[in-house]
Amino acid sequence: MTLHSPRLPEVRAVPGVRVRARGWGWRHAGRRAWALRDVNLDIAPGERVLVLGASGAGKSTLMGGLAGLLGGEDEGESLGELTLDDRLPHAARERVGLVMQDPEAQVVLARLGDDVAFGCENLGVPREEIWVRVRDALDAVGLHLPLDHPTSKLSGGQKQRLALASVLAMRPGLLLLDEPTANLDPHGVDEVRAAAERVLERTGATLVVVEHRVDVWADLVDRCVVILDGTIAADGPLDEVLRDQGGQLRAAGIWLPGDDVGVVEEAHARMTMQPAAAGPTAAGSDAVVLSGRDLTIGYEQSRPVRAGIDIDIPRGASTCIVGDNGLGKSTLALTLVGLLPQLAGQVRVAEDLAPAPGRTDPHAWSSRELLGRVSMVFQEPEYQFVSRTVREELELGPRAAGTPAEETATQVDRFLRLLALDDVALANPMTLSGGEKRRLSVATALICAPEVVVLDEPTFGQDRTTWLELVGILRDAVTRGTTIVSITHDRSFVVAMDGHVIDLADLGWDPRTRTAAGDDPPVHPVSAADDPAPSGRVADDPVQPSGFVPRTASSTPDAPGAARSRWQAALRGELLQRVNPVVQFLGLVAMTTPLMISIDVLSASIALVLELLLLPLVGISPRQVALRMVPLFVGAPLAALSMLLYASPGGQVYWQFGPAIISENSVTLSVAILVRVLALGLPAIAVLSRIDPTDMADGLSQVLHLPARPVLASLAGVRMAGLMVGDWQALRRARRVRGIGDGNRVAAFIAGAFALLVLALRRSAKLSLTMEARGFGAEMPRTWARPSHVGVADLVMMMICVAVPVLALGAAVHWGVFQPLGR
Amino acid sequence: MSESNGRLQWRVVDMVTAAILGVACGVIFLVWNQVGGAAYSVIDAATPGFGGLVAGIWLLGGVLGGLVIRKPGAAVFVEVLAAVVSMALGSQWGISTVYSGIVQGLGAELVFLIFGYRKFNLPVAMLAGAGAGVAAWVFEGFFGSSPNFAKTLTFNLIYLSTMIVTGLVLAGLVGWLLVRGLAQTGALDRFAAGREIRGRV
Repeated sequence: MTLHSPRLPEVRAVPGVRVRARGWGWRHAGRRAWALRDVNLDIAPGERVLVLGASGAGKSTLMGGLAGLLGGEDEGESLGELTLDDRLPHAARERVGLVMQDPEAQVVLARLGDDVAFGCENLGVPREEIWVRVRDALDAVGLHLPLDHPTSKLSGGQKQRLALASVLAMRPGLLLLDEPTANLDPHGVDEVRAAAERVLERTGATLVVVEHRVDVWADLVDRCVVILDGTIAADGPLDEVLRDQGGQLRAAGIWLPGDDVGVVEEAHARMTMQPAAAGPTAAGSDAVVLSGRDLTIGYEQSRPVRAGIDIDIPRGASTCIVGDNGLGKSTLALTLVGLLPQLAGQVRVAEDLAPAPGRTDPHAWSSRELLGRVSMVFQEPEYQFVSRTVREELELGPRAAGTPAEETATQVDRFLRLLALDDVALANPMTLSGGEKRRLSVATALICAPEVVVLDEPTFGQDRTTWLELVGILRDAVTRGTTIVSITHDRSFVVAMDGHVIDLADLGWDPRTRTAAGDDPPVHPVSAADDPAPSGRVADDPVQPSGFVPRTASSTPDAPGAARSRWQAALRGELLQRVNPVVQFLGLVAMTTPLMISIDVLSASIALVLELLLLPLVGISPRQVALRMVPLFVGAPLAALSMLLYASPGGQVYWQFGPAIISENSVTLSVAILVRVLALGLPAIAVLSRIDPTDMADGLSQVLHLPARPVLASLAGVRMAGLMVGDWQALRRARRVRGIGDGNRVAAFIAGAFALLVLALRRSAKLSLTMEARGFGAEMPRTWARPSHVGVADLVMMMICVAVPVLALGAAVHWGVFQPLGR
Repeated sequence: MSESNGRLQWRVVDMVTAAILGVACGVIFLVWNQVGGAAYSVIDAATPGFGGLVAGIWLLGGVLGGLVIRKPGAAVFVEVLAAVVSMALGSQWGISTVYSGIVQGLGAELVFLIFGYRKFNLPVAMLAGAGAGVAAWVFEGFFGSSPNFAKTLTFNLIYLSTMIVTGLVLAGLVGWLLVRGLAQTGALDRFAAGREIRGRV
């Protein structure tokens, strides 16, 4: 019952959008200066335009304006006019597709297919058509993965291609790409560029792309627009613009074609102008400052990333660690500096650097002991910032190391000057530009005069100007005797740093079954005709509760031995998975809420026994349940103890001390509480771990008819919970490396919570743009790509859930022990 | 629509930010379950009602939601989502986590409502925290896995005062300070809460 014939509608050619701006400008609320003004621009349908300009020149404001995302009157004021096919941009949103820089903030949903479908749903595209569009779009960007592939498992380049597919499925006539490759390694850049090229060929849409590396898009665009100081400074064919404006563009930080070679010479030429440095330290250049022996690295013992690594870092020189994605370069960096314990093997810092004789493993050092010895610069500078101003940020390390205030001040002044940060010394670090943040994060590491600094992708996404400054700073540090270790994909950087190079692929081996972490595993292309089971959840078969991860195991009812296998299936938890997640949740409510009425041992015990009997139906192993119940095993006795001591006394009093009274009543109540906490906690622990948030959201909207917007926003937020847990760990490491990781737990908690909120809010700002750009919040009826049903299984579950408290409380009433509030 | 036709209407960015705040608070609760949660249970068992002193962190969601978003329902939305997330990630209190979230969110929401969603200064923040604390006290008196009204009057009075104190300080004051700090990082530039503090830059 395939609805669509194979390969029916190729991604259709859509008429390109015509862009017209006359005297247009925009000023963000709360800003004195106009982000853009006096913009006059005509872009013909199907034209391809590259927008160049310094960071902060107003490129992203132009993109936001074109995408209709700048917001209403309380978010800023506008001048002149800007239209897409004679309509205001926010009214033409379904005609525009926007892909932005941050791969992480452009994934809305947890599963690949759902994410692509999201925009179509918001535009009210009929369900059958959505899945056709989803497949076409994924095919066009070359993402040949199952539709239920977790989006969290994608690489950066794949995520950006997914973003492109999600936009493409909306069939836009204007494609806006805002530095879509800035956060990607060279391989990812190629992937995204190739995908974009294919898409443009198929659709003929108008393209506006912002980029600071010209060569990525040079042969794809017809025309180039230069934005400087908030207005259009040049507009014409690319060659012409580069010829006339080349010098100015370089000064603005733009990478012109061929610059990745020229820039190395420029960096070296700059060095000769630096003051003569102190020269390498006495230890000699052959000495090893940091080494690893037979290292197995990874975040979890059960999931090692790489094993058998023997590595030596030479002292007082630059070492670049290169290699493909997924080899574990960042993991190795964290391991070497004592931020991530090795799973096996040994990390050793040169004996003369150890805080005490023999203590050569940096993992055993305190946070303060790391200062001045080893340091690390993270790929995302934001993780490392903990202060309110740039100045305080720089003072932090020296202060923690106990440097006298005067010396610290001199040092800080020197670094502020050296890194051209004096103008922003009093600004909040988080408000700096990308380049400034990067320079500051490097400075915070260098200011403590560490012997070894490890940097993770220091040049990622940097414009030309910052790139040159960084190379200058780092080369300068090397001549002063600091050991610089850089994880990098940037070939120009490796050449410019001019030191040792280690390819991680040459060290150790990959303990996972999959060897090299190649990009797309060879999966058969997704096609409508020979659709195998993995995409069965797509709407081909409306009878199947398609919200669920495909379950090919569910046999046909008439098969021989069906009854028996059905029971086995039920015991594996498959019965429960047929139940709509909303009903599972409501069942949980129905099962446990009534139990809260009475505090008595009998009803709680009956409920607990029934729950334990039902447990196999959930399909989760007893060991797992026990593990997840640990907090309960701690909480239940403590709650019981509190009741034992402070319950209203009744009957015989056994013991009294101050406000604590143990009486006949309190003993009975406390036993009841002990059982009751378990009876109330167990079902939630067993059921909730199996619920899929996306299915839940579908159910909440379609079955319970809750308003779609808050439900979907919550769903998008929940997808980020995993990222936030990762953030929490990264923030803890960053505090340790900054020398402030030794403080008490509560202070660390508050600081961690604050940093987590900062990161979360920055993501949410981007995510809300992504969602709005995909039509979220438009006032048109939404469709749902995945139907959510309730049926017989749901009824059965509900009846079982209601039966538990009815039996338990019924027994309590019958035997006269029913006690509301224990009275 | 993206245009806010009224001061109290939700924009997309309000909705998404509230959701992310809720999830972030859920993660924060989860960590606090380990740091403060253990302390709470132990203090509550060892002393009559002083466990409430560390409970304020669980009331943060409503205060943060109200202060940042400034729209009706924000306090409840953020606190409830935070509760759901911390329950789903594994909390020891089961479904009553969600009920607590609803009630605590309502407690904070009520205070913002009384001030007509116009005032978001320190006193209002602290009152909202206290509101959440009182609401939690009432709820935990009747409901939850171990209802307090089965305990002595002394216990309940002490618990009420500690819940108010913790609401004022750990939820109200801390929440207000967090929002100020967040605004200074530029993370709230799309919100009045952020622009007021940053001024024109």
